[in-house]
Amino acid sequence: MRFKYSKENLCPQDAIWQRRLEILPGVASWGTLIGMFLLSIFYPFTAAIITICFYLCWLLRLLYMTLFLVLSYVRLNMEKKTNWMERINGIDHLTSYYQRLPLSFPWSAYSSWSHRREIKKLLAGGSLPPASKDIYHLVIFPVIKEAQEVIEPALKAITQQQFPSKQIIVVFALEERAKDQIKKGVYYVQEKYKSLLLDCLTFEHPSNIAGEARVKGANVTFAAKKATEYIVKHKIPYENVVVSCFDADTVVTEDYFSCLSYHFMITPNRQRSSFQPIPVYHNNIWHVPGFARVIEAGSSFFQLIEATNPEKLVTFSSHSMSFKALVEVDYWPVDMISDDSAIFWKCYFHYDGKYQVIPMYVTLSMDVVNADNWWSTIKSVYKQKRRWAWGVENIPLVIRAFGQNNKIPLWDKFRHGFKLLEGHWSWATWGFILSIEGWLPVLFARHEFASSVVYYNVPQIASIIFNLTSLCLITSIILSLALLTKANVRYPLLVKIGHALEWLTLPFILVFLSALPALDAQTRLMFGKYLEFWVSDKGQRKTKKKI
Amino acid sequence: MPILRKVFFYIFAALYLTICPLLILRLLGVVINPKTHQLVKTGIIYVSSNPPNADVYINDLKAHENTPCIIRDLPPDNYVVRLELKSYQPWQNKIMVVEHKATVLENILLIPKQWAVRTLSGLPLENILPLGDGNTLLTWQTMSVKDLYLLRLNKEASNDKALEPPPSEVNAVFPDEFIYSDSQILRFFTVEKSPFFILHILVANKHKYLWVDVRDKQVHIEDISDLLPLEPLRLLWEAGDDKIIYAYYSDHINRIDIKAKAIYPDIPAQNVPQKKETSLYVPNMTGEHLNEDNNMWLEFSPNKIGLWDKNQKSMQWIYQDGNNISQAFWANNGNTIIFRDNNEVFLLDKEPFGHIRLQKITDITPGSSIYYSEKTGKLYYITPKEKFISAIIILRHKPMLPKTIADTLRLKEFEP
Repeated sequence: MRFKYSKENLCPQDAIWQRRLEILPGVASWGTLIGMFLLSIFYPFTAAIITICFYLCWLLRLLYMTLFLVLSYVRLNMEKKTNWMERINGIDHLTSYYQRLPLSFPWSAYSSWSHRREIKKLLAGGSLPPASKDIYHLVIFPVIKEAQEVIEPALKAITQQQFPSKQIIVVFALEERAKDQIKKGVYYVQEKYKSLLLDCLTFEHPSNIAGEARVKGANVTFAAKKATEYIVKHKIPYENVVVSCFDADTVVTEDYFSCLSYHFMITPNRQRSSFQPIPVYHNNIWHVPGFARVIEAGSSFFQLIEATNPEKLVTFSSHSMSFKALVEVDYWPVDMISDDSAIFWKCYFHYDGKYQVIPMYVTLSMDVVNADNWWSTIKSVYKQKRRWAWGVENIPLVIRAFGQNNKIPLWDKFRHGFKLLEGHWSWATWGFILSIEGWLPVLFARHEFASSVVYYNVPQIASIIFNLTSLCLITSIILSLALLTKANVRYPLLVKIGHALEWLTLPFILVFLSALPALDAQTRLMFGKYLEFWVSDKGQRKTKKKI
Repeated sequence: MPILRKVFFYIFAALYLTICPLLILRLLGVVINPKTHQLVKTGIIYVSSNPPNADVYINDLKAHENTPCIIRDLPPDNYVVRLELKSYQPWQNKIMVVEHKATVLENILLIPKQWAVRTLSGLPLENILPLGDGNTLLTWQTMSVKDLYLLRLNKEASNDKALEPPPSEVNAVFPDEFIYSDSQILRFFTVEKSPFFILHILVANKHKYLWVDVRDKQVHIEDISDLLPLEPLRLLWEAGDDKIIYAYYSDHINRIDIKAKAIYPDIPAQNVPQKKETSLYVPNMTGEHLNEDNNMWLEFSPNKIGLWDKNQKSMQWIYQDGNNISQAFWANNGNTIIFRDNNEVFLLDKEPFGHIRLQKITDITPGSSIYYSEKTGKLYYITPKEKFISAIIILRHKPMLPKTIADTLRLKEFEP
């Protein structure tokens, strides 16, 4: 379907619908919060019952998510031992490989079983992949204020892959308006590592191209178009190229591209697929304030949980995808901040719902937001979360596209639409309801309600539910300790205890660094005060301190 | 994994749909009767006491928790609730429980088997007068300036052993060398919530007025006699104002600036601070006090004590057998009333629950006043025999906060 995935230059009728739908998420969230507030004052009895129903829903959802978080973590650990190169080589000789697939060890039984099943599916589908030697990776790093010390480890990691680095092309999408010092760093790194790759290119994105906003999507699109010329010139078939759009601070593990190549090869519908790794924020994890560690652990957990639900998975942050699909959908949106999720939706509608995101149980590491001091870091984290929450800008576009597309099944429209709306609504409201609004019926109680059984039973039931949720909290703490890199310190046990205690900041984070920025984003969208792209402070890499 | 997700999704959805209605029923106080297996609508009793930690008996069955506690799942009926605590008289009442409702027995004051009395000074004294801020008591042996003493309530030691030798906790207001030491006190002027007082004295047949600030250890005295050339009917000032006072005469009001030593005569009445609120007019009313929640007036006349509910606009007489009730105080966060009838002091529950509990606390020196301080939880009075100023501990713990957040907080002991 031809759908213009943009809010700009719409026909009058579409523009009206676009504006109405932009108001929808904010109205839903504010309506919930104000409605609960008013109910608590005027109908505390009803508010108390709704609150308890909500708490129970929250508890069960937490338990459900924790269960899949644990399963996903186990799978991630399991796949760490997978030899992706061996699997790639096997797929190159598919039939014989399937017949002589080795027996698996108990700890990787699920991985092996899943591998065997996927090969079977591939054989049955008949859509055989290109040979691994013909697969090329195009990696795009957008750069605007990331210093050499940030981008060099990212590029170095790419040159140290198990997958042949001579099949990797790296492109630096450099903003023309970047400072000279930044540009110098990019060119220095390019020259230093160029010989280890198929090629390393830098394209400077002019600042004033018509129809573009000052967003990352415009920069990477410009670089991708230039890279397309390079690919055409070198006669590389689009079908054989996998493009990865990474934040400049993304450091991949040495098996990232072998894992990506494997998933690209094993997926029958590989040209209509994106590939989503698990982002972790470990580059500077021990040099940021404790609350920032907890937030980023939460972000990684969210992605781990999402990985277990590929049917509804949407691309997020650094990810990879079919280059052919990227070209066919005319690259990333050039006027949206949330280009990472928007590219999925563009592909989804372009292919009438026949587009998928394949989760990959491999991590890539990025920087945690870190500014000069504690307060500046809070402000930077707030702005980063607000930018993430600006993904709400997809809602009006997605709903309009659903309305215009008759080929996508109604159930799929409902599933995706509900998840998108509910996700942003709960993001903006749940923190407030849990921390503040849930207690209002009891605090605002007037005589009639204060002498009712409900008034006395609410705190009792609420405390039981909250105590049960501590199970999820403890699990999260354990997993976060397991997921973190080891701190280069004298007393690692103390550091671990310290990190466990950092989770006590969760109520603060839930309200001020999660719900509030999301509500802020929705309110801005509601009033048409559109965000501009703001680059997070990630240039701070301090020397490690010994504890 | 997607299949597993679906399976667990349906399991959790089923769990939610099962648990949620049960939880709502539980919230409403609907429980299953284990004998009949039928749903029963219940009510609860919330009970807190002062002091806390009393054993609770419902129809002679001991509850699992001590006060403050909530007794749940009680089918509608009348229950005999009894509170027991060592060294205190048991408290018992018949309480009606209604379905879906909470019967609140809040801050039940447990009366000790023997009141703890503490003598605060070995000096024989005549009377006491609290200053408006409630932190200081003035007391005197005779109506002479040199015999005027003060007792700082917040500095008072927390030793409550009655039989210890009386420490001297009262101090003379004025130093021995004070020039008006031998003068006669004619009147005291005090204002509610104000830490200052004005003393009207007679010095060699001349009227003098002394403005006294006792907030610091070193008492600050200002002779304002020149500013009051005529004897005023009354003197008033704003509680926090240590500069301006208003002198009321039969036909005019003067505004007096103590610091600038200036008189502004004939101030229009509307420019003078007014008493913000008064209660219902009751014939022969001798006094009134608003409770902490500002929703109920305690009114008393020589033979009656009543409660005027501001919101309901209704008067409830809770005691009508008095002889000469001249003072009454809210106590225990508005749940108890302490009053003086002739030369005796009594304690009365605000909520009688069908059974009035009237307890005599002590006798006092005839004609002397009493003072109850909610801040210290003590009753101050002059003993009838020795005429010592003494204190009886009424509350050993600070009363619970209003019940809207009561069950989230525990009682705190008074700080020494």
